[in-house]
Amino acid sequence: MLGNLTLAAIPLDNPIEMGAVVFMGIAVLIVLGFIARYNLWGYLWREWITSVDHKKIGIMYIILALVMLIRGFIDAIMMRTQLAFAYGKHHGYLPPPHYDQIFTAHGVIMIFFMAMPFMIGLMNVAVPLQIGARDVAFPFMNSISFWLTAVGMALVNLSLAIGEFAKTGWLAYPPLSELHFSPGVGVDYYIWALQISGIGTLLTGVNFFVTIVKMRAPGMTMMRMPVFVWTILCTAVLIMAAFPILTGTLALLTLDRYLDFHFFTDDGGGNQMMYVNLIWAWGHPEVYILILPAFGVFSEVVSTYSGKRLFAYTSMVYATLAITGLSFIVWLHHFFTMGSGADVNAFFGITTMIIAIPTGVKIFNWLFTMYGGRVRYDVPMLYTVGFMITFTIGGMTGVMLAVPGIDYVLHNSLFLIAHFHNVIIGGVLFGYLAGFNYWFPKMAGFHLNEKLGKRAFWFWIVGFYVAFMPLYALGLMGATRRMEHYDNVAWAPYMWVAAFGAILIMIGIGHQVAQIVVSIRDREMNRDLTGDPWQGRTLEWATSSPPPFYNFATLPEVNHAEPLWDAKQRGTIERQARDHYEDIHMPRNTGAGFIIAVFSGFFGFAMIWHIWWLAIVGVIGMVLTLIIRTCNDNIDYYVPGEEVASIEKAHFLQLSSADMEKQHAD
Amino acid sequence: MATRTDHAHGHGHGHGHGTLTPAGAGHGTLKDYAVGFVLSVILTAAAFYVVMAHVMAPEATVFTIAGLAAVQVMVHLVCFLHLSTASSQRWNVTAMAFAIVVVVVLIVGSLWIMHNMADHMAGEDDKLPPLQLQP
Amino acid sequence: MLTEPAGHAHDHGHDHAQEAVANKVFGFWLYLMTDCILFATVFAAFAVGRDQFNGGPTGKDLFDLNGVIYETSCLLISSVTYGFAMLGAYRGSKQQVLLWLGITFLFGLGFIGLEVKEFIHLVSEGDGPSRSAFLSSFFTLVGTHGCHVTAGLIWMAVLMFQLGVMGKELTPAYMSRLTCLSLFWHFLDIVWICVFTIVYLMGVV
Repeated sequence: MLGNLTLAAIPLDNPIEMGAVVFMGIAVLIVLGFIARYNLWGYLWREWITSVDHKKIGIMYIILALVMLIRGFIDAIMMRTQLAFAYGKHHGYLPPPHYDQIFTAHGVIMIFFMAMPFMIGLMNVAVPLQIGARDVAFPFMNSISFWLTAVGMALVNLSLAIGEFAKTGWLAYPPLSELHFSPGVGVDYYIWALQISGIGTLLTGVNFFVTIVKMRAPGMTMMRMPVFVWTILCTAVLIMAAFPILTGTLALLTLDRYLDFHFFTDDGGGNQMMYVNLIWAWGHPEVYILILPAFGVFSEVVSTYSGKRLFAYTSMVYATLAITGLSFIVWLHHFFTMGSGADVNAFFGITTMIIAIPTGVKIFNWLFTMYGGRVRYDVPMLYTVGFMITFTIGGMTGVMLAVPGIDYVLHNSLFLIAHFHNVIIGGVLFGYLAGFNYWFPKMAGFHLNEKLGKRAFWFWIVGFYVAFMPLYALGLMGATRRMEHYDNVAWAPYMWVAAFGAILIMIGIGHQVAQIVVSIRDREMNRDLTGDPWQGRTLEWATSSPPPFYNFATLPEVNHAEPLWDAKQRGTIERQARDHYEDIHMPRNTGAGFIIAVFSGFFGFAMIWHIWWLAIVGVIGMVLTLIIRTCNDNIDYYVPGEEVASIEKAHFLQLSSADMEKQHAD
Repeated sequence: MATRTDHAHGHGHGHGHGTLTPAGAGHGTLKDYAVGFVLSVILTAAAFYVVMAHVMAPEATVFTIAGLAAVQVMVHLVCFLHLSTASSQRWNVTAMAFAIVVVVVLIVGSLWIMHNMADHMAGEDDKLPPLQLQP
Repeated sequence: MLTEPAGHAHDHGHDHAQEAVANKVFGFWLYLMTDCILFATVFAAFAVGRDQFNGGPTGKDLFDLNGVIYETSCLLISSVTYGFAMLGAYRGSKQQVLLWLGITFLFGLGFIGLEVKEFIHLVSEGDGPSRSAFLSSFFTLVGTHGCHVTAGLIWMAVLMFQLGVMGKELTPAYMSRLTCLSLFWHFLDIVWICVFTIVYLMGVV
């Protein structure tokens, strides 16, 4: 009836895991309690769970990412504290099987359930507004994408309470990930969490590519799009091209594990190196999927807070396109040491170095944008400058690793760990945090607390250097990754410093949590009344904060890159409501996306525990829900022009009272 | 909120043929399908014949049937999928071209890498001398 | 707020529907390109595993090319009959659509039937996917294609039910669905060309 699932799956013998489970349980109960106390069930269902509005979906993605940032960070702090103590005779508090799950979970969570959702959230919030559209091309599919990602996240969190997680590292190489060496459910949790959320991501790629190509406001040619939109377009291309490789490769591993196939097994003619090859053919484009949107955010932020047009827009676009293309021909640099010859290694080493060049072009463009501008160091700009320094260092160590000879010494050492955290934290995370701070007023309608935000930044950046610079040194001294204990006592002081760095970062995260709490508490005092808190240059700042559900009452006509800035210069911004507004065509909310995802969750859980009848129920449920949805003709409606008019009138009233307030204040 | 379902389909019948053409996909004729079918049958039959009748050396056979397959794929793309250089098809062709590049890089790249690695591995055919340890 | 020239009013609903259809078809085409890359991954795995027989049978030992000819014929004919269904759709004839979709369905079902027969035969002889990496790759590549065809058949059946039994009309929404299925169906025939060439024909050379 319940497959392999028994009560023994709950890790009652492991106090640390049980502590985590209890903590998670309490957090869930608090949230549910809050909803019950204020009777928000109906509101949640109508306004959020069934929403097909890109703005709401974006916010939900970001909330998911921030929650998982904390979960992934706890894994990090556990590793750092373990390594601060576990040398020589001491073995710390985390035995290898547990430690292995922690570093695997840390990687999986941070990449798949923190960075990807954060990025997809930001693209959802900003892109349709920046191109002057009312929503994405496929709003229903957008909802499905989000809920599938949420189900993947739920499976990863569930593995803590019921069963175990993979012990293989975040890419689950065979033979360790094969059934013979990982007979438990850990790898299966990994596989199904990734497959389910991976479908969501792939659909997002398709959705945003069509949106950007087909739904730009009239007059917005490709070369008039904001650079953030260009980076999302290229990211969408990378997602569409790379994620099928992940889906396929994990499927092959699944067949090995479930049906005794021999793709990557030790016996039967399997070839483990092919897994490594395929998974990195996905994995390399994946890191560009992560960084390109961050580059896009930086372009927007540098331009806005320098009060200047982005330097050399055309070269930015070409650099982004170059990175997109080149990212498909570098993947072997992740396994120089696996045994290919010098000719293969040299080819990929050279292409890896070449791909650093377009990024260099971008950095110079950002610096030239700042030069001669009146730079305001608000929180997003702090993250940007922090990025430029930090990412450059990380990029340089990357170019070092691109030399096969050097990589032979440093592969899988702590030097590698320091390098990729350098570029991921300095590049990806700082970019998304900058974007979060930049677009928060637009999403929420009020400002984030600036002081707490700045303090968070300083703790993050100092913490990062203190935590990871010692790891470069340790790597050069021979320390390898994924070890929970070491014998060389000389390494200990470095580990202590790194642990202290992690604590600094923890304080930074604490400040970010405080920032959000305090900002919500003080929201009435910090309302964004104009919709344009930063003297913006692009179309999203032409709407109220938050925008009306239809985004634009009339679709903007674009004559210029930086359409809002251009309109401000010409004085063509509308200052009052029109007499007449057209009816607006909008999609209806629907619970189908959520329901399909729930069935996918049943399916995933059932496959993990071999509960075959439940797996069939899951598949049939997904398919039937989709079919029933397609039989439904009542999936859209028209907002009457009168309703639009009253919303717009209220908006312009608020604008003019904000103007008067400003005049009184000046 | 007042509701009004999409009133576009009311127009469909009045305007005839054109409005029912879904923009974004090509639009075929009977001739396209007939030509495509005949060509595909010929190309398929040729490939099977070349293999089953053993008319060429193995290597030549492989190249021939690969070529026949490539041509038949083109026939399908043009006759059944109506791909062309028309402006409505341009994004479709661009997307396909990019996908083909990725497919080629993935398959050729993987084969090159795996073959190269296999060459560097000791296999059943390579007889390494037995390992001599210091006495 | 930037201004928009007046006078767009009346045709909005109509253009809207056509744009939405075009976007759906384009989006589906992009999905097919991702499916292409998925097949490429499985083809790559096949290429690496194609000569790993593990002491077991090879393609030459196992493949019955006559069966493959029947399968190929079924799929090719079904591609053309789907084309006839689309011609009927453009003429606005739901009757033609249902007739040709039905015929397409039967040929597709024939294809799947033949394939399932082959698989059952191989497994019963002990030449299932667990025998060797070669057989794992064979079953996966052919099987992935077969799963896609099956999904297409289910989709086709649902469309026939909606148009035939539920009485839906050939609105832009249904035209876009028929078009997307058309792209899917022809794409699967293209993948089959690669499968029968690379797996079966090259397997016996």
